[in-house]
Amino acid sequence: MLTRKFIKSYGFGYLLLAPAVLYLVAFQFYPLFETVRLSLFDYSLISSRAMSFIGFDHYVYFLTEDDKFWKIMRNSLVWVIGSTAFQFAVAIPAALILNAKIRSRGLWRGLMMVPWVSPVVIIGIVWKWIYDGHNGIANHYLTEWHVIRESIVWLGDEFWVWPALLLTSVWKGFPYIALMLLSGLTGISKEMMEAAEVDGATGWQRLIRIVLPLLKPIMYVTGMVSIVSSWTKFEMIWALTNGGPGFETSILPTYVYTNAFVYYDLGRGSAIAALSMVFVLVLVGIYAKLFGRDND
Amino acid sequence: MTIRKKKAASLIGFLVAISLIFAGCSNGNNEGASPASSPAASPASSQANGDGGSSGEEIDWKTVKADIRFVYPGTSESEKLFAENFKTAMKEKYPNVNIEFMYLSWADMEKKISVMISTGDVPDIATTQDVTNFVQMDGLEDLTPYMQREDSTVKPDNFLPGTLDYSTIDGKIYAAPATANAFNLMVNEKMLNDAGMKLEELQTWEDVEKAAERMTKDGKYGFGYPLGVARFAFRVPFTAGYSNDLLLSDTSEASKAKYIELLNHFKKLEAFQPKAHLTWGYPEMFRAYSNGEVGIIPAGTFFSSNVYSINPDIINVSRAIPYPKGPSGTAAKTPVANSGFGIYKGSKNKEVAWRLIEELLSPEFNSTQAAILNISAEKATSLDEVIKKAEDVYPKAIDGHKRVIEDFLAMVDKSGVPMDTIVGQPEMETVVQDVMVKFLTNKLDAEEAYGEIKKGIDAVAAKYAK
Repeated sequence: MLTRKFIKSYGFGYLLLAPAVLYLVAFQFYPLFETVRLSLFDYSLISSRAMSFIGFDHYVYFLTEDDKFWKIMRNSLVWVIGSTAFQFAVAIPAALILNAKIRSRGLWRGLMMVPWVSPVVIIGIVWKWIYDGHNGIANHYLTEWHVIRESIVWLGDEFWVWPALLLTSVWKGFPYIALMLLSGLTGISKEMMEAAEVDGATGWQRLIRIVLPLLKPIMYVTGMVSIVSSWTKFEMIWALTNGGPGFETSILPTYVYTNAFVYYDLGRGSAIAALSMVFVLVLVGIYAKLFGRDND
Repeated sequence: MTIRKKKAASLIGFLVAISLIFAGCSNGNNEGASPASSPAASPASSQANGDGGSSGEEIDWKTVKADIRFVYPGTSESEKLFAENFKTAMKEKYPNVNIEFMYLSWADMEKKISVMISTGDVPDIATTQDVTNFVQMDGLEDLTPYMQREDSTVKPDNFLPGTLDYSTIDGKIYAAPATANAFNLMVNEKMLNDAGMKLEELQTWEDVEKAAERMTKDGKYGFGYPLGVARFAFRVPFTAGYSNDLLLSDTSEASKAKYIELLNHFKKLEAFQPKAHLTWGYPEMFRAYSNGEVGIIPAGTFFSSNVYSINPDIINVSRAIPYPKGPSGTAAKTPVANSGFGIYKGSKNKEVAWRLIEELLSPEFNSTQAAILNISAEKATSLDEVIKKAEDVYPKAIDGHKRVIEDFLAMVDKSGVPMDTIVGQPEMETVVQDVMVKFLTNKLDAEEAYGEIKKGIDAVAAKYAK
């Protein structure tokens, strides 16, 4: 029983918490529970069969019978690891440059954020035009500059499609990481850097021995956010390739969409969503194990 | 401290329990959809449901009140203008009927409506093509009783032969056709003539391959098959299959030879297509054709509305022909579907919805729709009226458009066959797309491609046959 004293002491606090808790219950826990529940049913919107409980059959099907699932799983890993790694590779120098005393620094910092604040679908459409294998500007300039001899179907070529997708993902995602690193860089004390300089440390040594170690906690958290957001970044791939040609560029979220909203098979769609959730948890767990030791 | 923790834990536990109860109560099934109103077997004057008036009372159409949600996948400017004009006209005729158009593309519409049906939030009027999935979802009203009413202006006999079949499942009519949709080849006649061939020479698949080969020069290509979107990747061989007496979902041993012929036909055409066709949808295909970069494309009666805004002049050099006869086919055949209107089963305004459908199919409005989309599905709609209205829709290409309409009418008349509907088609579409990409990029030979398609399609068929 909730005593009057308890309500008097903590009631207001719980009242303030209630909206957030209710939101979590309604929009996080319930859909999660419902997804897992539906994954245990044979439930198709366009089948005349009644919804029936089939246990883990969908999971067994995807893990052992579906010839596309593991390829799509591999694609997801390429997409997530590639996006995160390349975003960092671009974001670190970008943050260092924008932290240096350069002219119009504020303007450059603002311009850098443009891709990040642009809607993903619009970006997808624009890059689709850039990559167009017939009339795209990428082919136009690369041919004109004699970099390539004939047009490349960037989004339809097995070799080029992933580099093309990753380039778009990096372009879209690196400003966020750069911004986070920039905030970390501004927190590094000038005295420490000056002391290192006085002690004869070169710029490279200061970067490796001082700057990057001090940025580690921010890099760790940002990396985790990037992994999770890349894992669920459905719209960009859908806008650029629809997961195709065939299933060449499908990742788990696009496969969820295809099963649930193209095939109308909500049971199978939910099973992939549940599997996707487990895999991303494992991935984040591995990441935490590898990089989180020093950041407790 | 421990007591506080326990109490906090109890509160959280309570909230989780509530969420689980919610989850347990939801059925996630179609049962959640609003129950359909009573079937409309009796005349409208004696039965009105929803806001249309109380049962047994005559409907006063001047005062009838209803908010109608109309799902409308006409996203071109001319189609939107038609919708707005219809809305204005209906507002004058039925002052208390408010129509809200929900503009969606065909692909988005199906997804959105499937979710709406399963949650019971159902609109009133549907614009339909293939009704199979919606019928499987138990989402559409059987319109047969409405058409059988004495005072109905929409009767089964009103429609051109074959058009109604596409909307009929197990003897029940789920949509009233407005326009006939034929699927065929569009040929740039000028490019063809420049390549030394005449339109009449395109009689067989071999002729198409020959024309494509000759048209492929100077950065231009003979053929454009949009392979980047599963729906179109399926539709093109599906259309060609009719002219080889093959239904693409038929993977039986008896059809194997026809299937291999079909695959080889597209393999032969591959050399005469821009490589980018692997990523194309309809927009890219129509753009390339409109710009004169591709000479032959698989399209349909919706051709003019798709190319006019890109390059109206292309209509003046375009001709519509049925997909020519395949090696095992008896004749060139044109699958004919329809685009029409239905009523969602959960609608609370079925009588008003039906009245609006009658209005939509009146010669006045139907001729405008046909002017945009080429062929009316109704016998009573005058061709002269359609062409007259088309002058407003396609003023810069009216001569070419008239000729294209004539081509389509002749085609439907001579080679039109009802288009088949296939349960599980969306899944089969991705199977065909996946295999065609591998086949056309030389990762599979024809035998292997057939085997893969058979395996995939048979699995889908088995899933729905359970």
